[in-house]
Amino acid sequence: MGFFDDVLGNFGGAQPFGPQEGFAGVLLATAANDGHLADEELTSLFNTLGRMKLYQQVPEQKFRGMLDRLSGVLKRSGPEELMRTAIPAVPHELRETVFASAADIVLADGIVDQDEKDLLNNLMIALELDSNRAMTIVRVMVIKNKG
Amino acid sequence: MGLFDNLLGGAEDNGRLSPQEAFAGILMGASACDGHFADDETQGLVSALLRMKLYSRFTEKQFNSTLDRLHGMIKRNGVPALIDRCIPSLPAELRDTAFANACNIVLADGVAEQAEREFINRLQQQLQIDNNAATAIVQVMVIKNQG
Repeated sequence: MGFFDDVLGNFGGAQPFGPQEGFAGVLLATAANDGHLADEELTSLFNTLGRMKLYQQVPEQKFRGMLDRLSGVLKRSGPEELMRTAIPAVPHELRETVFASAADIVLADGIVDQDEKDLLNNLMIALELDSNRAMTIVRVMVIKNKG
Repeated sequence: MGLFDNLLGGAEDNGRLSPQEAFAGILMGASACDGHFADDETQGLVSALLRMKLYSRFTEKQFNSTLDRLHGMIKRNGVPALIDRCIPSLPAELRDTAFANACNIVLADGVAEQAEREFINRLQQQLQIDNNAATAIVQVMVIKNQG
């Protein structure tokens, strides 16, 4: 317990994420999971978010503010913490969608290492997805990312 | 037969397509099958191609001229004629990959218009993708493009 803990309370601490931050947070944590963010991963992430109705009402400045906030959590606390904070905020009806997009990001470079397999497995469990449906999603994303 | 056909024959774009042109042509057909090129579709198309080893040796200039050539073919002869020319040049192991990416592009705006449905149906037949695999691919791409 520090002397100023009472006064400072939760000042500057983690605020719960909204649905937009939840969805984007899972994808950013996925892209950053291997320790670095490749340009093409970021581009593909922006493409994915940009097409969604979820973000169409968000003004550009607010959208950038949201990404800054997520990047801040990523830098300070790492991808695992970002993932943990983001998952509960993903809207229920978009759980499979975020999983499919995460699989697409993981598989985009055409290779999957053990860390990435673990990530998809943990994500499936945390999102409480049906394992057969998750398997079909991954299988199709493998097809999409060949060649 | 026009008067100048013999003379101009060599100037027409009738050569066999390369595998790179064939793959990109199918995705471009998917993007244009509703009658127009949307900006975000073009972006999605370019990022889908750039991640591929198939294009890793392409310079930016080669890449752009490939897209220009395909664009010209669509303008002159329409999407179905372009697809007809792409199919024989597409590497067999990339048939399902091309189909998955085409579905992803068509479904990216969250709606599937009649022209887009017909495009997907025809593409499945031309690429000879069996019904079960095609159904799984379309289902997962619908999931991926929700929200």
